[in-house]
Amino acid sequence: MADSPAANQELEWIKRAQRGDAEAFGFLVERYQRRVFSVAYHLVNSREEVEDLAQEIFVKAFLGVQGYDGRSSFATWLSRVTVNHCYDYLRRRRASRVLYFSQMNEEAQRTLEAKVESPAREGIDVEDRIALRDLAAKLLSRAPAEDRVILGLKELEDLSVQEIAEMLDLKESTVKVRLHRARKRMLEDFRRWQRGR
Amino acid sequence: MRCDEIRKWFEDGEGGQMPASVREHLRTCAACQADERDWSLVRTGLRVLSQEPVPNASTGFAARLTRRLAEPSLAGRAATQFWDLIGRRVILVGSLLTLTLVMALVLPPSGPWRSTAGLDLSLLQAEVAAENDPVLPDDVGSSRSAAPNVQAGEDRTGR
Repeated sequence: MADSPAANQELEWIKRAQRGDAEAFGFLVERYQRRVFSVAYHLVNSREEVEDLAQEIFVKAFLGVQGYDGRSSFATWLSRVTVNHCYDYLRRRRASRVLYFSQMNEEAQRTLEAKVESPAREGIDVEDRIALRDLAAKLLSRAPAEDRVILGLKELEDLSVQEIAEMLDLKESTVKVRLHRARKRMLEDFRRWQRGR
Repeated sequence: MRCDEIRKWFEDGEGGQMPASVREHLRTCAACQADERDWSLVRTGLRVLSQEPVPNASTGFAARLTRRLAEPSLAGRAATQFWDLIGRRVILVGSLLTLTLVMALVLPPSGPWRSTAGLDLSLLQAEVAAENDPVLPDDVGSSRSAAPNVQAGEDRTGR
């Protein structure tokens, strides 16, 4: 998109936004709102809060757009603002409440227990899918904020290691190590749940 | 393959085809079978979660936000962000300079930590002895490195 009309148009909006033009920034909001909603939703997993978060993210981006120097694409820069904001939000939320597996929906928990105890792997039916979805959501919500962010970007947003590295301003090797640790911790938490039943 | 390599393969797994060596290991290792099963369950849950539709912005989200951004308080804040940033840096540099200046004025001017704790005591003693010796003020330099107190005593008896 380097020299396309769309890229030139975007550059023009960015320059105007950097001079404080809210209307120009509004065009950027329209272009990127879907992406911001998607990243924010996958990181915080809360339908009720995602719009408020997106609004805060865009306000923060507008106030900080003068710092955008064009070294990465605007989409990447905005995603970085989104991830940072969600990270702060998750840390605050985690500090304010601790989640227990016992808070899981009882029916989902029973289905999941049966699934885990069944001897051979069977096909995944709708009930299983709901139970496993609940379990994954619970494991994610219990995970530390940094695990949650990196797993959200990889497993839910389906980004490549390279894309995550660019977004978080990290080396690819660092992202791989963090992903490995996050998955390992998540699996350990899953086993804690199994042992605690 | 070893069990830790198998575990790493699951945890790093990008979801591709399972290599024959991993399959072979799984046939004979119950612990790794359990690991594979656990991770597969968690991964399935994550996949289901990722397929859920992302909520859309409510109607008029961008327009409402643009109106909010155009409010004088926010637009003014955006315009002054740059100067805030510069101002913070000026304050930081100023504080560092002030601190350096204060330390330079407050600390004594000699010693490794600008204190007398690390001085050579024998030199200090020689200096003190030389200052107390009323007889041979001109010989102090030559007698400092020897035993100054003895020398001073000999001088007194010699007189």
